[in-house]
Amino acid sequence: MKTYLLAAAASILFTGCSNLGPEFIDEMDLIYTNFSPSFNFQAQRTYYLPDSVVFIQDDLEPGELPEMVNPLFADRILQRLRSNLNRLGWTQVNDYMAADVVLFPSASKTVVVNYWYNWGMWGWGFPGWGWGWGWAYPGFFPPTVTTHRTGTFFVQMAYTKEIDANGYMPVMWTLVVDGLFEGTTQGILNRIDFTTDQGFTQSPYLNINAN
Amino acid sequence: MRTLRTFLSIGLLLIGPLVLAQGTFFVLRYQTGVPVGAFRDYLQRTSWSGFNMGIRVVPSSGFAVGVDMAWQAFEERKDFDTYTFGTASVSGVQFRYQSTFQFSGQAEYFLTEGQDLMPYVSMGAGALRVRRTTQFGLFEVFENPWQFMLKPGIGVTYFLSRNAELLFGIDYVVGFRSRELEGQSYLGFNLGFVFRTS
Repeated sequence: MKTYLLAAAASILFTGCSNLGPEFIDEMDLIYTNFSPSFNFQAQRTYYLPDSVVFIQDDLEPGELPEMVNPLFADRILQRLRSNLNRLGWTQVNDYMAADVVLFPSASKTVVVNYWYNWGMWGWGFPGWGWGWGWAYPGFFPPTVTTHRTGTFFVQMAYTKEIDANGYMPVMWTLVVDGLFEGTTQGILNRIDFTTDQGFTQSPYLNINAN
Repeated sequence: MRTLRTFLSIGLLLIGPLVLAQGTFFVLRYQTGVPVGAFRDYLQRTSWSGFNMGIRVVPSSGFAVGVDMAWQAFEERKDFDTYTFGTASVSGVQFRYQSTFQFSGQAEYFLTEGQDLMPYVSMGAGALRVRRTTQFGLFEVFENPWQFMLKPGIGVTYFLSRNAELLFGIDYVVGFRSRELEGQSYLGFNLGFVFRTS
C-alpha cells in the first residue's frame, strides 16, 4: 500500500505550477485605437503634423513649456505616422490652419494620464489656439491610461475646424500605444514601427485612397 | 488562499464523521482538464495541472457516498490579435489563467462487485470557485465568482491489493452561470488510486 501511496503523492507533485507568461518585452505592448463614428473621414484630405512629440508632465504650471521627447524616438514616431497617413491617401500640409485634421503626438511616463484634459498634453498651447483648451470625444470614450515603468505614446487626430465655444477640440481618432520602455534603442525603434503600423491597420476607416 | 482555507475547513467538518465510519475508502487522483462550452470560448488549452481527492463511505453494497475536493489550473497564451469593442480596437498578446477549486458531495454506484475491474457511475453536486486572470499587456482583469456545480462521471477501478485499487475516470464538471461569468465547464480525466481502510 505504501508504494501506491507514494505513487499517488508523486502524481500530485506532477501537478505543476504555471510556467506560462510573457517572455519578451514586445509581448507587453498594447495598441489601442478609437474613433468618432459620426465623423466623415472620407471627406478629409489633408493633415498637419508637428515636428516634435510632447513629453507629458503632471507638474507643469500654466504658461510653462513642456519638455519634448528625445528626437531619436520622436522622429521615428513622426516618420511612421507620416508614412502611414500618406500611404492611406492623406496629404501633409505645412499650414495647420489649412489642414483638415491636426495630429497631436505626445508621450508619457507618468502614472495616470487624464485623457480628457491634461495640461501637458498639448494643452499648454499650440500656435493658433493659445493655451488652456481641452479635448472633446464625440461619440466615443477614451481610456484613462495608467502606466508603470512604461512608455506610452498618444496620438490625437483633431478636427480643428470645429472647436466649440468652451475651447474643446473634437478628437476624431486616437491611438494609444502602451508598453515597457525597456530594451535596446534599436528594439524600441522596431517596436515603435510595428505598433504604429498596427494602429493604422486596425483603423481601416482612415483609408481615404478610394476617394 | 482564503478560498483554500474555506475548502479545507468545510472539508474537515464533513470528512471527520466519515473517517470513523465502517467501509471507508479514500480516493486520490491526478487530473487533466479539457475546457468545454463557454469556458472553451475563453481558453482552449488542456490543463495538465490538477488533482482530486475524496473520501467515501459504503452505506450499502455497491453504493458509496462522500465528498470530493479538487483543483485544476488552466492557462493559455493568445497570440497577438486585435479585439474590437464598438468603435474601439485593442491589439496585443493575451495571457489567460484560470484555476478552479471544486467542493462537492459525491455518490457512486458500482456496476459489479468482487471483480478485478469494477466500473462505476457517479454524480456530484457542490460549488465551483473560479479564479480567472486575463493579462493584456500591462493590464490585468481579475474575476473570481462562485458557481453551482454538478459533476456526473464514469470510471473503472482495478484491483491491485486488498487495500488498494487503480482508478481511471472521466468527470464532466458542469459550472452554472453566475452573475459575473458564464458557466465554466470542463471534462476531467482522472488517474489515481483508491485506498481502503478495511
